[in-house]
Amino acid sequence: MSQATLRVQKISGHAGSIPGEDTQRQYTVAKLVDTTTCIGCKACEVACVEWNDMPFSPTTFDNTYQTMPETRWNYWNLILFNEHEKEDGSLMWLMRKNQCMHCAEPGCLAACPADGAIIQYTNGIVDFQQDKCIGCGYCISGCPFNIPKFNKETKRVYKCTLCTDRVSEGLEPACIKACPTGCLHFGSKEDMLVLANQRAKQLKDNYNFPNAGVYDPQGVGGTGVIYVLHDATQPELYGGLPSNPQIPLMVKLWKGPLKWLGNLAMVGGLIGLAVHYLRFGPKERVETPHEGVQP
Amino acid sequence: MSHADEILPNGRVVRYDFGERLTHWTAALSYIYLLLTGLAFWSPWCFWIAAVLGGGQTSRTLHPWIGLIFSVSVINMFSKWSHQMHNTEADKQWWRSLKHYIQNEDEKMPPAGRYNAGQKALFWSFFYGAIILLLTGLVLWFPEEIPWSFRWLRYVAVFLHPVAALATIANFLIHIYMSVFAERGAIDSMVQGDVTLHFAKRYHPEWYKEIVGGSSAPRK
Amino acid sequence: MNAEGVGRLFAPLGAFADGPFPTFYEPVESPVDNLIHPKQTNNPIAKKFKSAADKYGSPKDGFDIVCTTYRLTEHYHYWTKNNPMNVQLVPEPFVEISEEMARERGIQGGDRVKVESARGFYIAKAMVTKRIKPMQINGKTTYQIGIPIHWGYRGIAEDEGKTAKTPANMLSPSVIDPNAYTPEYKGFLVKVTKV
Repeated sequence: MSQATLRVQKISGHAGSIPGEDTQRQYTVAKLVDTTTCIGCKACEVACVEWNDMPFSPTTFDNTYQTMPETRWNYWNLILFNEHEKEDGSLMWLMRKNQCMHCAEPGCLAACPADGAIIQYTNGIVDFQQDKCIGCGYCISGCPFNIPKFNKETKRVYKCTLCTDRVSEGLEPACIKACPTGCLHFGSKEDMLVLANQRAKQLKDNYNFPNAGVYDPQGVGGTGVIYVLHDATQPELYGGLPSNPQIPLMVKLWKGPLKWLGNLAMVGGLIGLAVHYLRFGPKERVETPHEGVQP
Repeated sequence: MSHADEILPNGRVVRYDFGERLTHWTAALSYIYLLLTGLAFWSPWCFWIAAVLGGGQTSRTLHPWIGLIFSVSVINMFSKWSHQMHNTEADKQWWRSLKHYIQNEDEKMPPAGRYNAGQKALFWSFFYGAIILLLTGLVLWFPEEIPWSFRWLRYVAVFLHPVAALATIANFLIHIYMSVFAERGAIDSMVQGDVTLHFAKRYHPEWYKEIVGGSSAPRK
Repeated sequence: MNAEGVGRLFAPLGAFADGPFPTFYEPVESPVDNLIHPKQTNNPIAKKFKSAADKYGSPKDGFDIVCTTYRLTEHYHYWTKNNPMNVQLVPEPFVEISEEMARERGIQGGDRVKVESARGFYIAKAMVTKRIKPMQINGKTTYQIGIPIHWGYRGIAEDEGKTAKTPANMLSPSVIDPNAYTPEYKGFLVKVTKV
């Protein structure tokens, strides 16, 4: 939890202005995941569980090396394994590290009704504040990446924090530290984009991956986690990575036009009824008998 | 316990029996809680309402349970009153003369029965609104149970729930205005259960005719 | 590095048990004959144990599937089956088989299969994968399966009754390389049936 309020630039469910918005000269951080050099060793999964002291949960065999089908409230980082047969018959075993994408325009934050339950720091990290969370699960509907997960006992949602506790102290996230192949990088978004584009170019020029590219979806304003993919034209191959993620339309309509219309209708209705009463009064005035005075 | 449409010795007539009044007030009070907590979830400017009502987490936990109570009482009202709420020819004409009703020129309106067309519309609006709120509310109660492949259910629910709520809020505002401010004496019908015969004749002339005309006939 | 500092054309006597020239031998259990010298398919001085359990199978006995054993990243030898984090990563033993072999035998991912060699048996769930392809050897389709070794008769999953408690190396032959003394655990023959 950040000690300095100026480091918060967005607060969910918040009425009024935010004290830290645009008040700090700070670069956004990003995690670069190079799926082309990931070996699926799961050191990052273990590092995340260990750093965050998460309790173990049971897993079962599911015909795959993937540890579990989706992230859980106590398992924030998961390598997704996909055996992909290309048109020429050759096989690629695609491995993508899946976790919160730390969107610049987070859908979870937009959908959340609770004041301060979801915040975004000036460095771009999106963090859940479980003490303010009311457990409504709207964030689950707001997220285009299927990330927030609900804990039935505590009735709160949890997800990757981009190790904001480590980052605030100048350390890299635990997953980055643990990675043995160096396919995970951490630094400013600018630097990570440079590195990512360099690697994508190398893949195109030297490794016969003409569609290699960087995944940094602009539909959510760009993300704090970017991928280098062998085939950036088909992100769905990598465990269902959405090709054009956005805050869902229904959520945008609800928080946008519907909010305006609704407020207008409610306030307008109240005012309208008051004006009607002023103008027309009740349907029947109660007659009080005259006392004494003759008209 | 008084019987419906029974004429009382003090110049009043019974309009609602105890069961009907109890159901109505259960619905009303639960609706007010739902409205207040719902407004807290609707807008950050109203989120403080949740704090006043026991906290955000408490409000989130109780809102669906009170919603169930509300739904049950609305369904109960449906079973009691729906057969009295079907539209007749006179109702169609009532809507055409709505301008007169708004300007309190009730003498230019076709005579209303036990319920006028506006009240019938309010009944159905509340009923269908409550059904939509119940169904979407069930999805919103347990969003974590809806798998990713069925997320469209969550999207529909998250949008339709406030839409239906706004419709019921419109109903609520009109209903309170009409029963408390516009038609003086109306609230007696729902609190002590009876109204003056004058009230019956003034606002529901066809019903008044039925009562004084053939008061032994059972209510339709 | 050789003491003389240069490479050798042949191994001097006494340096290797099976010199002086290099050659090729098939494993003790192999689906094919040695193309170079079919009359001596496997290494004549490979050390073999002589107990009643040291039997060998061949394709004509029905052992038509090539089997290999290996290790996983998520486990280490036999002690990580007792560690909750490792068990969370890979909870149960499995046998990797190719999609073609699975289709032929009606095996689906998660079905329990019994793998038998001339020496013992192993029971675990099948992982059906595209990553293993059938081999065409001498015009015949030969299937290969892979078995990670890390489970046994005690462990977190074992104690919860989730596994068959069979160790993988009941299958492999105790045949020892005459020079390095490494056992031949990575190439032998088995048969596979659904349980």
